Amino acid sequence: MKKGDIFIILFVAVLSVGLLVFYRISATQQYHHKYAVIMIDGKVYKKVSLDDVNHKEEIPIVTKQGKNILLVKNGGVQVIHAECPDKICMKEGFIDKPGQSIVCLPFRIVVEIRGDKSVEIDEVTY
Amino acid sequence: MKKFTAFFGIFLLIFIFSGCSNKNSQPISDTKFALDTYCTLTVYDKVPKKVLDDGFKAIEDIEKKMSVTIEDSEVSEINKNAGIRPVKVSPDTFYVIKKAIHFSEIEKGYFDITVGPIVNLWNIGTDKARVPSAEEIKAKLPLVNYKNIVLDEKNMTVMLKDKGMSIDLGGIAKGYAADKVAEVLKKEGVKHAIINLGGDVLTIGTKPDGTNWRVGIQTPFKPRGEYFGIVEVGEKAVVTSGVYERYFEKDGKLYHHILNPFTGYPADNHLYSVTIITDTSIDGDALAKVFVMGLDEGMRVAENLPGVEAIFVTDDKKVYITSGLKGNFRITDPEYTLMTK
Repeated sequence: MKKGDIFIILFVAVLSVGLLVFYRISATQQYHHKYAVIMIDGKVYKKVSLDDVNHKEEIPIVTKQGKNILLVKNGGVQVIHAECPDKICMKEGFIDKPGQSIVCLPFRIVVEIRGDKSVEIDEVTY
Repeated sequence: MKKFTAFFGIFLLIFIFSGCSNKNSQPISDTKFALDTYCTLTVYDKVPKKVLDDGFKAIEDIEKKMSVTIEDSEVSEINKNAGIRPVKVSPDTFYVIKKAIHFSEIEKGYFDITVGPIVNLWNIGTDKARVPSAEEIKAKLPLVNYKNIVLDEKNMTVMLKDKGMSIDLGGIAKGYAADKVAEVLKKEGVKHAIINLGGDVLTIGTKPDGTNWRVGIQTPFKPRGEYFGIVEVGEKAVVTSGVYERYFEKDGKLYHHILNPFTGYPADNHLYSVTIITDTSIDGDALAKVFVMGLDEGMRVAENLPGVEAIFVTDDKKVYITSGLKGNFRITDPEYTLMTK
């Protein structure tokens, strides 16, 4: 074996192990990561990670019409204060499963939980 | 060193291609607020993002023509000229009104787009929502009658016979918009997609792997996205009318947005929701209002229409389905019971 061959073997070995680790990590992040997406009028306003169940945070969502407050806790979210007229977003309660969402139609706010999506269904009619 | 370069080159190629192949099954999706609701288009084919934008344009076009909150929409013009003169409208608006009258007949007047004056009394879903007095309702009820819409097919005009009448296409325009979006998407080569306009689901084709779509049915009064059962469909419209969608509470009583055109009050018949499965979304949207007829009569209407299936959910969590759905529908939430009758 020449010196160059050994170099190539070593290079490939290191690179493949490195890539394997890299793919594993990125795959884990993609599939086990859970987060909430807050959208106003169809545009992303903020994303919050829900991986840490001990994380607690109040997020004010300010729109032209008024303010709602979203509470992040126990790996999920809930609207705890709403200035919208019908307050249906508050009544929808606490959500923590990917695919669930809270919609405030008057203020055009949507909070959607994304992540390891259930493979059981493709869409929900409501 | 030549060998090394070749080797490295091959390696790089493998690396690049393996990176790409993983993303094949990722659908493209976008969400917008239109028609007073939350609209999501999801396409499973490889198409440019522009295709979604064209889909949303179709929705906005319908909104501009048929919204009652847009001052110069065709529907607003019809309402402003009630009892005065016929109004010329686009083929879209004419078609939707004609369809609405057709379904009013099938649903024996329980679905009626001339319910506008009553809708305006309640204002459900707005900050002016309130319980109107019995006198107010009584005064407006005579204005509700779909038979007083005069259509002129030759001149494409619509006229409301009496002054004070008004139409509200809230119960059918969304359905029509979904059909229009499907038309646009198909024209641009889309073979697999889901259109969801505020809970009215319309599918294109099958799933990319050729199997049926599985559509969850919303659990009443639970966070959106939570479902009690799953229906399997190919290319179909799956449309739900539910009391939990828009409502307000006053003195411990729940007032929802599905109004009974005969009483002027929200339908009060122990139903939580009705889901219709049909070929077109406009039919599904209009037929979901058999909700107002109640379980027995509504079920009879759905059962007798060809190509129409239905799921009724009562307030004691019992689920009734049309005979054609057996085998295609299952309950996933143990709190709900499938009834056979």
